[in-house]
Amino acid sequence: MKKVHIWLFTISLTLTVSGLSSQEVVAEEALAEEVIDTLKKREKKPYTLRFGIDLSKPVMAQMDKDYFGLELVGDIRLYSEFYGAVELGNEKKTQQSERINLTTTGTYLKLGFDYNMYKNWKGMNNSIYLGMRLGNSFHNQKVNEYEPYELNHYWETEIIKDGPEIREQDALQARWIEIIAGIRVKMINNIYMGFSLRLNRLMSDTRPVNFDNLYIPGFNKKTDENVWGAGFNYTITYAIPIKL
Amino acid sequence: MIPRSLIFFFALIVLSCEKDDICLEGTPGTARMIILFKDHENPQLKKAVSKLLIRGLGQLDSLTIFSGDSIAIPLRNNFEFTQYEMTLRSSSPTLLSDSLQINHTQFDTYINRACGYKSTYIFENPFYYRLTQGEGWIKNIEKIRDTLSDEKSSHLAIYH
Repeated sequence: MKKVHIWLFTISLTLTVSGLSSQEVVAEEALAEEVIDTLKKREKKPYTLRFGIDLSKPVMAQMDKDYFGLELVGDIRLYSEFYGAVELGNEKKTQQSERINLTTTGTYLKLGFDYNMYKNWKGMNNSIYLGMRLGNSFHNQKVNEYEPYELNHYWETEIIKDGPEIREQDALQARWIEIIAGIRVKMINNIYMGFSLRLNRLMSDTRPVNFDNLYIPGFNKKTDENVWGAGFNYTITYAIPIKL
Repeated sequence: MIPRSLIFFFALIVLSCEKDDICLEGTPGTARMIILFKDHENPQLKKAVSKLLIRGLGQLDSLTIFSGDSIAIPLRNNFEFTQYEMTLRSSSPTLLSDSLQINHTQFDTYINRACGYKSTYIFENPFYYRLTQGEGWIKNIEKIRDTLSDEKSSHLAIYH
């Protein structure tokens, strides 16, 4: 629960910052609107299709030889400040979790929307947004080795490297909801950079037999104590304007 | 525009310690084998041993020197058998010693993230071999429970 509170704090902080910066703009916009009003014509914004990748995963993969990750991101402006968004990723992670060494491999898909709260000046297209996603992973998990839990150490406890529990279990799934707070900034021309923080709530997961989903691709670490998780991404995207 | 402080803050959350990482004390681990000592002349009755030295074969240190009528001894994980030498130090004039091999298989059950797996032993058939020849202090051995899943009651009875 403590983690959830920290997250709520982080998100509300982000919201406050966004609230402040949009206020600054309001005054400027009021001036700009007067000009537009005389024309009695609302500027028609193009449907913008953006796609790109999450930069944090290849960077983490470089630093950690036991990790591979790739995430493709995309979004399209549907109407007003609403964007449909999608993330498609693949991860492979080997980790030592206390007494168990395991490898998780899998793909995930996240679908949802973003709502931009940042009032842009004319010609600008930055965003500070809140969003939601439905996530689904398709993964498998392999126990590489483990040390059985012994209270008595008279005999040396051996690490078990083969046996019935050393196995790979596939066709595992997890479904979760993400609540997102993020920013996206136009760098040059059609290139955008973005950062988002994600609070995940696990809805359901198919667990491996006699084991658990200790890591879920896209969701990250699953804990025993609660259903909450966290994530982030750091994206670079390219925008294609579609004028209709 | 990029909130670097947030990245740092996030890293702190991710790297911080959780309750999840500690296997809570009191979580039942791999069960030991509980031996009950009984009277061979009167099998209904418990009969305590005194100054029984228990040592695993291949181990330099003894497990314990024990007096009483029931004891829990650990079995060897990831092995098909466990060998113990039991010497009755109270016997005189000569020390009576018996060596036993307990045959077992095991299966492992997942508990949680922090504790990992615990092992449950099952006696094989035959469930023991006597490794020493001749007269010892042990007259007979009987199994009470086949599966060593907990330490709530005895698994093995030794008659002496």
